[in-house]
Amino acid sequence: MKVQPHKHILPAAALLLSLAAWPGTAAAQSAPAQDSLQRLAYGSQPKDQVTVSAASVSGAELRKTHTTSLSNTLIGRLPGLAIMNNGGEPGFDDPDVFIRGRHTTGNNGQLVLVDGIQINSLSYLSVDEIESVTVLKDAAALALFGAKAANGALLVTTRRGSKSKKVNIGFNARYGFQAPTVMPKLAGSYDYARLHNEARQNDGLAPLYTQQDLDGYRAGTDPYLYPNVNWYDEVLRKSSPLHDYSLTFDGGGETARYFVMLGYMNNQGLYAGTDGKNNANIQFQRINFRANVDLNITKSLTVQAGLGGNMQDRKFPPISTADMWRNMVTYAPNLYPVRTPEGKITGSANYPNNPVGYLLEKGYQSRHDRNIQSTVRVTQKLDVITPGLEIFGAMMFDNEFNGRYDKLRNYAYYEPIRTTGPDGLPQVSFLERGLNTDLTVTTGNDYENNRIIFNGGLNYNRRFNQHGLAAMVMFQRDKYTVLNNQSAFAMENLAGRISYDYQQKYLAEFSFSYSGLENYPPGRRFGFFPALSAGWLLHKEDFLQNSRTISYLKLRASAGLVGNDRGASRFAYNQYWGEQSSQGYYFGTGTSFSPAFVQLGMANPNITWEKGLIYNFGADAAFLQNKLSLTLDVFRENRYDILVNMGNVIPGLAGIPTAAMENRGKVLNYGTEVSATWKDKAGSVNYFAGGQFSFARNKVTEAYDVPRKEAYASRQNQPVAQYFGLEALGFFKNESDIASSPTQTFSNVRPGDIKYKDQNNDGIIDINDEVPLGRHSYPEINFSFNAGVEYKGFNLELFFQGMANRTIYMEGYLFQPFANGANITDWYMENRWTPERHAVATAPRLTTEPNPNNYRASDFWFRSGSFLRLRNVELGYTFPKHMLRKLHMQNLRIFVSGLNLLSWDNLDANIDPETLSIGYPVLKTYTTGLSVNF
Amino acid sequence: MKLSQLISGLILLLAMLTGCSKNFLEREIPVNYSEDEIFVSYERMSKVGYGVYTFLFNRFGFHRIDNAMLASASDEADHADVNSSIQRFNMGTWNAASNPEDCWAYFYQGIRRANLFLQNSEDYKNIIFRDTIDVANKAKYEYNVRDIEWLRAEVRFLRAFYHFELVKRYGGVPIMEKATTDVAELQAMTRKSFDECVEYIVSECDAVLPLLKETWVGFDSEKWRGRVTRGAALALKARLLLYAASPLHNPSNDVAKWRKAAQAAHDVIALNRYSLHSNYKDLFRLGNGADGNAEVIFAQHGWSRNDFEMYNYPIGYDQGGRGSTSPSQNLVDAYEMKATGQPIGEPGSGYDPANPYTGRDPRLALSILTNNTTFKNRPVESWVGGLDGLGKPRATTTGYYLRKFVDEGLNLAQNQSSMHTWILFRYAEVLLNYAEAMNEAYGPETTGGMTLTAKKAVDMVRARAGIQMPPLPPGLSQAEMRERIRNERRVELAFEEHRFFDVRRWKIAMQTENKPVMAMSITRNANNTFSYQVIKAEDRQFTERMYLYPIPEVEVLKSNGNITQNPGW
Repeated sequence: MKVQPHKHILPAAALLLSLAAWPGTAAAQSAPAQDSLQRLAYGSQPKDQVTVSAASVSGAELRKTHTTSLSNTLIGRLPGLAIMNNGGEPGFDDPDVFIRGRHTTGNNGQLVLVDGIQINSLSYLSVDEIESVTVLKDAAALALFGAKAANGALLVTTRRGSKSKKVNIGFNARYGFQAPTVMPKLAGSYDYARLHNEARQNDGLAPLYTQQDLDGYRAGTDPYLYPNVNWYDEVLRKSSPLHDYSLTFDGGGETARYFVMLGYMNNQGLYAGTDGKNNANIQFQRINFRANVDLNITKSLTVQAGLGGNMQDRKFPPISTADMWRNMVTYAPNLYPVRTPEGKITGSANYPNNPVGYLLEKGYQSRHDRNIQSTVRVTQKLDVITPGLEIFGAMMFDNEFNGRYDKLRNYAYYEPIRTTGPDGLPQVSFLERGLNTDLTVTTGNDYENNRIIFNGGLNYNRRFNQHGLAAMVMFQRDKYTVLNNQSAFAMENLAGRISYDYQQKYLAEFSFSYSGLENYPPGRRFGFFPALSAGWLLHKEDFLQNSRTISYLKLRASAGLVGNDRGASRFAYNQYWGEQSSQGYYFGTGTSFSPAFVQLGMANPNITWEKGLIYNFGADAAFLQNKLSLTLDVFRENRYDILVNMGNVIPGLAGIPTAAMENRGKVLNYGTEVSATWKDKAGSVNYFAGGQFSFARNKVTEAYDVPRKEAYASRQNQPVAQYFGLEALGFFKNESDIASSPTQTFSNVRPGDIKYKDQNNDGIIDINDEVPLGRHSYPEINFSFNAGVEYKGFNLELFFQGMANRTIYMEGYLFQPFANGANITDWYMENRWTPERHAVATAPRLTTEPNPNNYRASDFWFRSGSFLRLRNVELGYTFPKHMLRKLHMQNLRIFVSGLNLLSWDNLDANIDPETLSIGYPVLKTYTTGLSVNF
Repeated sequence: MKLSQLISGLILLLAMLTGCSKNFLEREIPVNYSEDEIFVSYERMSKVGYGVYTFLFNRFGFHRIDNAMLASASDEADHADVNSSIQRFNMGTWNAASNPEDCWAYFYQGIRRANLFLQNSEDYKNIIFRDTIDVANKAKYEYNVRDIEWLRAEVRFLRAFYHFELVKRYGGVPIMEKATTDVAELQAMTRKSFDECVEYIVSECDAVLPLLKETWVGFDSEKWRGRVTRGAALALKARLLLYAASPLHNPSNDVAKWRKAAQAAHDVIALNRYSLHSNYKDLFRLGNGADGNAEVIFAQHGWSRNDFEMYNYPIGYDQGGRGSTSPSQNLVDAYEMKATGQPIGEPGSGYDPANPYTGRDPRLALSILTNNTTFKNRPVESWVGGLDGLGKPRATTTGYYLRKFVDEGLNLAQNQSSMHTWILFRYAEVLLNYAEAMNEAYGPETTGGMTLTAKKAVDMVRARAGIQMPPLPPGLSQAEMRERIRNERRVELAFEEHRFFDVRRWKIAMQTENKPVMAMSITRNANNTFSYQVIKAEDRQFTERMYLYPIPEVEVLKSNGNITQNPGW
């Protein structure tokens, strides 16, 4: 970026007004080191003065976790932040992120900002462009965002240059191999066929496989007549590579400072045998770039400019990942061989999508994303009017585009037909199905969005002897347009923060937002969101000033109101009519459709945002000459005006397909976060140990649920998304056990099926016997601890992370053998019920029929989802400076690390506690890397 | 220096102020209309009316219940895919909390849509007048006014029809004559008695009769074919009154009810507009009466599709073949012998168990694909071990595949498709309704002052060109005639969503639906002949309470008990 002469900058700056995510100049004046500044909404404060609940983690810390997406590096790094891993599919591994648990029965998504620009996901930033990631948790930290932030916010701050005599050049490289943490073990054809016969026997049906078949499967000598296919082995390879590189430059002087980063990342998937031309592995490539420049145009005028973005290129097979992984289990091992003797792909009418065939013969899909963000911020000191006053303006722009390019074809596949040959022995021939077609290209489905933010305001920061005063007030406009969407999302926000301190010991702060959103009815668009907070630096008091134990102690408290506008459909205050898909009729003699006008979803003319009244109490402390530092937060939030579906109470007689959403729900959420670090040295060994603990529990106090027959089935006073189900009493032992038990109405039961408790004693087991069981899929408790030592350039660091107070529900194809032909896992095989194993069985009898009785939510399938993982271990060596001087290096470090290497949980089945091994697996990664500075 | 500070500060401030345009938060959805923009013109208003027709889809027709036909929930067929929710009907594992064919909310949505249209289009003349204000548009004005008049009558018919669909499943239901969202008012509503509902639907049919168009054939370039006609209103009334006279709703067997039903069916016959189609196969394969199909009274207009074939081609055919609807042996046995006109069980009927499909009522071959019949250029191999045979995963469970409605000519590998129309009312049903009511009201061979006897009406159906089954023997008793009419219905109207309800209204479901569904296990012998053995395909469960559907439990709870549950649920 070129430095413009003064004259040109001014008019340009006047046009380019905008945001304030920036360290206010107040901070710049006293020029404290970066790490003593706390990033906050629309600004930052010296940590001493902070009275809100916020926590940050540095980019350097996140760098230790080698994953493709930035979100996954945050696991366990920030107190109050919970991240639910969705598996490691390259380019599609965005996890679910929650701050302080669940706040609402509606949408719990949080606000994510990069340098003041709201973005949809922070996953695709490069860790090497990150200065810090901050989580904002209480009302005082969030009030400035108005109705956007009651679920918390994540602020990403990118790196900027600092004064330096020379250009600092940094180069980072990492190369890793990924493999699944755990893979379910599936039966081979012999076991499959044998158990299938057992299942049919259980169902009162004749066996499907003859002894001759079983012998054939056991011998395994004829792969065409008696195929034995492990689809995992056929489709997958042992490991996949992940590598990334980055180059950074930074430096500058009095008038200009800069930071430039260029990054490249490449991650391949686990599929084997692809060539990338006619078919494709899942693959993800990303190029990131960022250039941040700070200019002092005059002594009083500064300009901060930033440009950043990324390009993401993805390729993947033309089958959804969920289907691919399901097919590898639900396509039985003896279904067909992978290929005919001539090497042609097999398939059948009912199972056409041979996983290998679909991967290799069907073509591929690809997606290409481009994302660019730019900011320009101008700050003019106005000491001429009154000392400590400045005016700022900023303009920010974000654009995201993606296009698709798919190459698809159909292929003929061959179904094995078993017949009896003239010799009376079974033989197999192959019947051709379908047609071969050429690859055809499909493009389109382009997506684009734009965000333009303009903001400007005043900063004031001055001390009057004992009294300190800092104030910021700003106005912001934010417009977000999605291509082909009918109208833009818009927000106007007048926000401010006034901080006062007495002797820099007693702190008080008022922050607010008066903001409006386009989505609400005229006259009801604006809301006022105030928050108050206070702090007391006790260690500065006389009675603690000379304490040897306590080196630092701050108490803080806050209360305030924040809103959550997520979850409302657009312009729900307006009763719309319009055309709706498949509504209308065919008239005449042809096939032309006459679309109808229908009344769309019922309006709620009084709709408004959810509101959260959040109280927070916290303490920051350091003991023993700062060797031990500790932060504690306790919070309580009353969320109200939650949107609930009035369809839950309106009788069906009304004939309303989509009922109005009304602001009637309430949720109470409370909890605590503690983090502590011990840092010391013993001789030349530096060591540290730290830990974080977060707890958040909620209760729906006003559910507006559908009416339930039994009081215990009420969702009222239960946590959000509490699991409900039947209470299992074990298995039916025999027919007389069934006859003497209450009637189970889901399907006709047989011995070995699950027996349930009749909660309401009506002699019938139905959905009215469902009670709250276990907890919910998200954790109440998140914790992590890490420890490290450093000795003569070597360092070793271990990082553990876990969750507790969560329930997992084992459902789906891995737990329902023979349903839709699915294979059986070793867990089920070993634990299944048979009459002989009645006393010890822990899985129901085998069946080939759908079994709605067994396969429904009950505590039989619920498990504690608590786990502890060795998330990361890193061993590094930093070369001594004197060795590097000759090489013109300032710093050289090499390291090896491992991600997700070990895991402890209470599960009896051989599955991953985070994804239940459904879909793309959670990966462990072995990495080597180096980091050089010139 | 000071000056430049002030200047740049001022510029920043000015730029901020000029950025403040007033209507920044005024956004809207231009593709949708607000409520007051809808009932302003003929075009928009009539489009609201078309939306009421939409409810003729989804709860009528092809493989609509989790890919199964309603026939598979009766003794007509079994559904091959064991995972389909239709199986719950057959296992008896359905209840007020979960009903695979729940229609409560669905038809009330159709009724609300009808009410919204009727309420808001009352002032249609003024609306159209305002929209077509000048003299030049007089013809257009007149056309539009007339069209909305018809459309309003059609929507009233549809509202009555949707009420009937509720009544036939649930018994008496609340009648909704206006659209409301008032929760208190809705919660206070109670169920009307069955007879009150019948009275309401009859009065609506009577009221709209003169307002409906007689036919849409030959009108305005045929562009409105498929809309409701007078025949439809009369046919609905005939079917409704037949249901009302049937044992389920007429336990005292009040003959006056049968007479009313007979009269209503006769009113359709007396229109002299409808006749039997000459090809029993093509009848179900024709478009929306495009050929001037005079048997169709009212139909769900079809569109081009092949999903039905994908579900119903036998399993061994390329790209097809999920063989979902497996017709039962129970139904196959109902087809009589062509030569003698006798049921197969009767001595002297001519039935040969070793050649079970020879010499049967021609409708068997046109409705059901039996073993070794040529279909798509090869014989169907339903024998055990055959390409389409019993025992193959997901193949037929009965040894039979469906042929009625199926378009044999589609190449599914090339994704060919064709129009599929589902007939809601056809003339043959009216004749059989008439025959049934006449037999009960006056006996088998009495005219009761009308033009046809019960026997004559049945014989007309049997004598259809290409079918030409012998007439029923004369001198049958009323009870014998009843059995023959019931069997005729079963055969003629197979898979058309009649049997499921007929066994209920006749109160014979405890017998018919508790019988196992039977299959034909066919063995191919060495000399390419076949041997046949009837085996059990599936046990069925039907209990007394299933004569009526349960009201969805949540609706009973939402009404605070004002909506009462049906007995036994």
